Amino acid sequence: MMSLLRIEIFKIFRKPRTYIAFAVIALIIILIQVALKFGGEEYVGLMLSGMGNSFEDIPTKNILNGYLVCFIILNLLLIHVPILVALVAGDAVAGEANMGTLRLLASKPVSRVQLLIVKFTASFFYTMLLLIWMALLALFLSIVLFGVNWLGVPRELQFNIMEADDVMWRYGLAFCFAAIGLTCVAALAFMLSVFSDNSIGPIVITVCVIIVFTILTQMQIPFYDETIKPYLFTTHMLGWKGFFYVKGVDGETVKGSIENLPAIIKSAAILVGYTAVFLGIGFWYFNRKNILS
Amino acid sequence: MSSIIDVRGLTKSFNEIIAVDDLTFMIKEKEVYGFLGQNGAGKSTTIRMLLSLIRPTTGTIRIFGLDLSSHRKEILKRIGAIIEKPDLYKYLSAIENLNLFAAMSGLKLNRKQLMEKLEKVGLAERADSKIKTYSQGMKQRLGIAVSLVHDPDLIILDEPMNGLDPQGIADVRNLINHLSKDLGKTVFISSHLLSEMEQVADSLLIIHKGKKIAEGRMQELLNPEQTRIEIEAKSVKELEQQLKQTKWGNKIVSTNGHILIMQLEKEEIPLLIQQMGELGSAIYSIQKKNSLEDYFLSLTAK
Repeated sequence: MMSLLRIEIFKIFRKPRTYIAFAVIALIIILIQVALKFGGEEYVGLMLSGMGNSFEDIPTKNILNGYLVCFIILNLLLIHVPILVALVAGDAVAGEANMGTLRLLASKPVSRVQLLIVKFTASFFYTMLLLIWMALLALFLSIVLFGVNWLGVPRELQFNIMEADDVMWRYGLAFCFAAIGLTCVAALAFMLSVFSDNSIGPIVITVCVIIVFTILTQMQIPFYDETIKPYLFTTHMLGWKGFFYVKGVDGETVKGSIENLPAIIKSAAILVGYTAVFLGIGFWYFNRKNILS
Repeated sequence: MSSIIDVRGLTKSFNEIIAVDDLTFMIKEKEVYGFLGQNGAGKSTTIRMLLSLIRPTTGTIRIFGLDLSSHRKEILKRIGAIIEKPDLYKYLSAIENLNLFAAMSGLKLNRKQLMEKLEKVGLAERADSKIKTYSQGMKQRLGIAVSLVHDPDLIILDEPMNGLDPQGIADVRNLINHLSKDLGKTVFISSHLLSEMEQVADSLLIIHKGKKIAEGRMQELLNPEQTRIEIEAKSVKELEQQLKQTKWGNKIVSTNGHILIMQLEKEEIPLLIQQMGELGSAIYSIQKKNSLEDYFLSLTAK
C-alpha cells in the first residue's frame, strides 16, 4: 500500500499543473501583503469606520500586525483555495481515464478499493501540503513582515480582541478546521472524477458547485438561512472563523475562550459526514464501473 | 497441455447492444492464440473482461484454473497486457514508467535491471526521455516492455503491431515467437494484421458481431487440402461457360471482372490447368489463394 501511495504522490508532483496552485497561492498572498504594507492604514481605517470612535487612539501599526494580515488573507483565500484543490482531486481518476492509463492500472494486481484509497490519500496529501504552504506564507511570512501584537477581529457591530499570546493556538485549530473543509472539497472533486473519463468535467463541476454554494451562503436572505444554508457544505467551511470569536464579560475578552465551540464541532462533523458520503458514492461506483476508456 | 484460459458462455451487453454473445473458448498452455474480428466485433470487450476491467453480463472466466471473479489479484499477478494502445504517462520518462508499473506488480527493480528490460525492446538509449517525445512505434515497444516487466505467464496483446514500421513488426513477431517457443509463455493476441497473425498464431478464434464464427488450429482452419484459386483470363465469361460444360463447373465459386474464383483440392490443380489448355482459353495467371485473409473475409462477408 505504501509503495502504491508513493507512486501516486510521485505522479502528482511530476505534473506541472500541480505547481500552479502553489504559485497562485504565493502570488495572491504576496500581493495582499504588499498592498497592506503600503496601504494598510487606509484599509484599517475603512475596517474600523463602522465601529464608532473607540479605536481612534490606537496606532494603526498596533492593529495592523502579522496576525490580522493572516486573518485577512484567510478570509479572502479559504473560499477560493478549494478551486485549486479541485485541480488535482478532480484529475485523480478522470485524468487517468483520459490518458488511457486507467485500464492499465486497473488490470494490475491491485484491488479497485486499494487503488482509490491511494489515489484519494495522495489527493489529501497534496491538499495538506497546499494548506501548509498557505499557512507558512499567510501566517509566518506576515509575522516576519508585520510583527505581532494583539489581534482584533471585526464582526457585525463588534470587535473581538485577543492578546498576542492568545492567538497562535487559534490559528493552529483554524488550519486544522480548514483541512477538514478542503478535504471535503477534495472528496467532492474525487467523487466526480470517478464518474468521468475527462478531468475537465469534474474540475469545472466542482468549481461551479463551490461558486453557487458560496453565493447562496453569502446571500443575506432570511428564507435561505433556515431552508438551504444549513445544508450547504460551504456554509460549514466558514466554521474556522469561530476560533476567533471570543466570549466577553463586561466588555472584556475572556482569554482562551471560544464563543461557540459546539457550533464549530457541529460544522466539522457535517463536513466529515459530507466527505464520507462523497467518498462512499465514489468507491461504490468505481467498484462497479466498466472501464471502457 | 492444461488450459490457461477457459471461457464459457461469456456475454456482455451494454443496455440493448450485445457486444459479446455467448462466447466459449479455451487456450492451452504455451500456445499463441490469435483473436480475430472486424472493428466492433467485440475483441476489446472480450479482452477487457479477461482483465477484469468489464464485468460480464453472464458467463464464466477461468484463468490458470481459477475463477476470475473470486481470484482476481492472484490471476492478474501472472498476466501482462497491452490493451488497445499503449497509453503511458507522457510526462514521465520510459524508465520511470517502467519502474512505476513494475512497482504496481510488487517488484523493486534497480536502474540496471530496468535498463536491461528497455534494452530488449531497443529503447535503452532513450530511457530518460519523456514519453511525449516518443514516436507511436516507440510507445508500442515500451508498452510491450511494461507488459513483460513482471515476467508474466500469460501475455495478452491487443493490436501490438499498431503503429510499427516493418522492422518493428518483425521484431514483435520474433518476440512473440521467443516468448512462446523459448520461454514457454502463453500469448493471446488480437490483431487486424491478418498476414502477421498467420505467421505467429498456433490457433485462431474468429468473432463476428460478438459471436464466435470459427475456432481451431491454424492449419485446420486454412485447410490446405481445399484450395481457392483465382484465374485471370482474357474472357472470363467464355472460360466460365466452357468449364461449366465439364466436371469443373461445380468448382466455380464466383466471377469478378477478369477473375474467376474456384475452390478445389490441391491435387486437382494440374488437371484443371491441363483441361484449360485443351479448351484454348487465353489464361493470364493462376493464383493460389489460401491465406488467412481470404478465409477471414469469406467468413465475415456472410
